[in-house]
Amino acid sequence: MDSKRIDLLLERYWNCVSTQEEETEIKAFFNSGENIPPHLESSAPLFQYFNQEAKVKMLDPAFDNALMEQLKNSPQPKSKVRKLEQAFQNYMKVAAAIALIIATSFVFRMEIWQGDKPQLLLVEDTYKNPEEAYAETKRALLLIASKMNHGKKEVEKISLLSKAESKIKRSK
Amino acid sequence: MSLETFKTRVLPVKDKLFRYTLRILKNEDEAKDVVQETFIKVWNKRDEMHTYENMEAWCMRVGRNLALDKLKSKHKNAVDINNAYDLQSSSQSPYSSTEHNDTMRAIHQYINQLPDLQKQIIQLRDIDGFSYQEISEILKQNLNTVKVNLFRARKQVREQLIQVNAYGL
Repeated sequence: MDSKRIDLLLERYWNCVSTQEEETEIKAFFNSGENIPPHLESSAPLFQYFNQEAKVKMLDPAFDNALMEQLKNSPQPKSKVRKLEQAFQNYMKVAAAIALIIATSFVFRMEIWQGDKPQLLLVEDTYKNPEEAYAETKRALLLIASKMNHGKKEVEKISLLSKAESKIKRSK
Repeated sequence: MSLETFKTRVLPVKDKLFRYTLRILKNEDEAKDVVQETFIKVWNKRDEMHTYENMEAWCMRVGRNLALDKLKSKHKNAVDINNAYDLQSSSQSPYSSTEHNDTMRAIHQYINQLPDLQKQIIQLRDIDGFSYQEISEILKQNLNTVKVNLFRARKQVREQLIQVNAYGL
């Protein structure tokens, strides 16, 4: 092939303006075994690589057979009717969720409107007689105080331990 | 669509699909799995096939998405490029064969080191021979992006080749 023609094609190739046919022509030239002009030697391996890649990286017929067998046994794709049914079911689910939200918010708003009348939380008294209630409260508070004092004594024991530890350290 | 039609119309894209997914995943077994998954997916959508203008580009796009999903799930960022290139045929003398393989391996590495988009575009155009329009459909990129990235990829590879030619590998 004319060297000038290849120069021109290569120029177009590097500038990404070459057509697929021109690129096929370049590949064919560099893979033909023709003498490559010295100034094109640096480009030759690239087109040989492209050619080789396309030839070498291929799937064998065993792959085809295994795949065909798999496809033969694969279940039928869902029909359009089935798809429509599914779409309808999905829409119904969304509609039900929206209806639930509306109903909940409606009930909630009704509660707020009715909230004009304050609803007091009534707590029933446990004792009718105030003196009796006072005595019971006093008894409960004394019980808490005694428990707290007991706890304080235990803590004091720990402080004794830390004092002993510091004495040991000093004696060393 | 019958299985026979599928075999004649869709299956021939398998090698291009394999090479392309192999370029993304850099692992032959995983690439094979993705090709298989792609065909199963396409077969399950056989009722919709008539709506796609370019069957080959559609298959490549499905394969690309599956390969990228696989890549994401495996966090396969680091790969051994040197192991990915495997030449199975050579009829030259042992010496020149080794030299030739070294050059091929080096080019393989230059391409794999390109940014992902450039790498995929050079694979689709220069090895698998897709048109710019088809590449734009496969990658979901506009034509201009495809051309700009191809230009950058080729420029990068060319510069490296010139450097190698001047100073050796």
